Amino acid sequence: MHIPDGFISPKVYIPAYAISAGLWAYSATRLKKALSSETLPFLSATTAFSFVLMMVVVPIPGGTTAHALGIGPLSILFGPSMSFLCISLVLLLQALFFGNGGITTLPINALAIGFVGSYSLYYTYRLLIRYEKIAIVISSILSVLLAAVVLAIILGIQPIIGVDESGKPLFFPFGISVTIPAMVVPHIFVGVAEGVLTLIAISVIRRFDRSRILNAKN
Amino acid sequence: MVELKNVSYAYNEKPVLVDISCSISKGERIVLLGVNGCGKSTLLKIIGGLIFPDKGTYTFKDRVINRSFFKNEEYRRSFRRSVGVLFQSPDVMLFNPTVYDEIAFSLRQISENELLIKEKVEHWMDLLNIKKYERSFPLELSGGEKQKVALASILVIEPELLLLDEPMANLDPRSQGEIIDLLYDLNITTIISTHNLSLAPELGERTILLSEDHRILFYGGINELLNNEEILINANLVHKHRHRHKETYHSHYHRH
Amino acid sequence: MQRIRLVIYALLIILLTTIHSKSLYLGVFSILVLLDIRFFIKKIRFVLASILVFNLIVTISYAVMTFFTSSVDWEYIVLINLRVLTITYTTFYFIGHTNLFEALSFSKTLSFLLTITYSQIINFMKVMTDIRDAQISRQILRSKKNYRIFSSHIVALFFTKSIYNAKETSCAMRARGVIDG
Repeated sequence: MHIPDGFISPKVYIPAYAISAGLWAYSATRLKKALSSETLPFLSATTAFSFVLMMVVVPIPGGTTAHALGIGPLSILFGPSMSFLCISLVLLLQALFFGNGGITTLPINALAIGFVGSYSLYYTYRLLIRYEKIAIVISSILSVLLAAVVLAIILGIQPIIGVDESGKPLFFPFGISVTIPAMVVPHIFVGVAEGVLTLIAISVIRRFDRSRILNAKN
Repeated sequence: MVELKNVSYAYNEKPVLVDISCSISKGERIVLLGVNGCGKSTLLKIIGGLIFPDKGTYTFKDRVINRSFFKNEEYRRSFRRSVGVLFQSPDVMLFNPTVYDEIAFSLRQISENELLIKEKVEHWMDLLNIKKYERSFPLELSGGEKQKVALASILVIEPELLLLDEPMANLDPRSQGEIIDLLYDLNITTIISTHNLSLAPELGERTILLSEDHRILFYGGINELLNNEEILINANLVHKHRHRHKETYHSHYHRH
Repeated sequence: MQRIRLVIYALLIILLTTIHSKSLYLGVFSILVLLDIRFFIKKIRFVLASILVFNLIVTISYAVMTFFTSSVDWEYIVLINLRVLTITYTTFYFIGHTNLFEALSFSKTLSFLLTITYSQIINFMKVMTDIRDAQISRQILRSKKNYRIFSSHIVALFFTKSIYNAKETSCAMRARGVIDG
């Protein structure tokens, strides 16, 4: 869910920027070692691809629809570093270039969805890879739920971190006991959508295995 | 069959079509002419019921085509069966894993008789000379081959109105010739957009010429237009530049 | 100049999230509105579209919760909504008045990356519009089976385009001496 600016304390988003910047630099260096002169064009093309994936509406059981996040195809096909960088770029472009706002929540979404989401998806998938379809579905749902938990915790600690002298919350008013169920339950649907999209994407893209590029793993 | 009355359309507050009025009868072949950006694709999308005018009305077979029209499932199905749209980039139209499935896609929505479907698909593959690509993945074909597959996929359900957006753009000369002959033999109402004046007389008898300011500049017989240099210059469809005839260099308005 | 705007914007955001004053928020908001009054209606529509859902959920939930537990703190509700509105409007104002590519050009790599990615996304969005139109025009019968076909097509097409674009961009950048190899 898109969280507007103004609900997160600078005590959280400024360190989040610092942590994200470090992780971005680290991931970019790893990527450059794998792809060298093709890194930049490949990263930009994959980011555009992930932007499109986020636009795909997925019908899910129950007659409703949801938007997937795109971390499934990205993490499995290109590795979690690439997925993290792409998602972060998409968030930056959405915030600044496509007028979706969220400049203070950018590093938080990058960490939750891009970092925690991508890495948890990738390693869960690798753990269960013997049963690939099940691996895709479980890793997608789990990664989205983990990302939702991280976001919920960050929102939920605002009433403790961002308070005035009398202890009244200045930013987001609800604690973890509210934010966790409120974020996690709707994201179950997003997780299912992620699983569906990833299943479709992996089976289609396998036809196009340009092995030199797709083998640029971590 | 098709009637547009004072149709206007804007995108992001910029005019794309201004006050377009015309009437197209059954069986006519209309060439939609104009430079890039004059609104040809948008006009075709309006006639194809994919976007709706901001002002004016569009009527197809005496029914006003607007958002409410498509809320009626029976009307929607009938319209989609009657109107075939070929997009400028065939990539956007090719959804299926093989050429056979691509052409059969629309037929499978109206019939479950696989034998009849096979007969029709093979007929169109032979006609367009694409039988050898039957099991190929459409997106991996060349531009011209994709165009033929896309064309076959809409012709197979025998639409009453065919809208073709720059169908010759991706084709080599031989393929262009094949398509021109095919369209001539089809005998269905067609509206074909192009900015290629040399091909225009082969594609239809009447023309709608859109100007750079998105209005109708000319609406009438195509030969009449091609003999009117003033209008062609105004529409930016002819140019002049230095060129050589034998030993002489000169410059005059001409088209390629 | 653009980078100075970027710095001012960043500092303003930090200020708006550090000092919790309705007067400050109203003051900044009013100044930005007056500086750009011609585009106020257009901008405010985008701003509200961006913040309305989340803010309504938080506001209504908070109001209901505090109504039943103590008393509704309207000052707090006004404060957070004003802050969110002001920060979001500031971002939209900044975007509308800054060449972001130039502002972020302190890093050459980031600048190239953003420019190339942005132009590819714009191109992809145009293609996506055409794809949706093509799918609508060829769907005679609405069927769930069509969903799998259509979404597979979107994935396959954009994946192919991405790989192709990556190679082409790489060639173009090498030809212009931007990258080596």
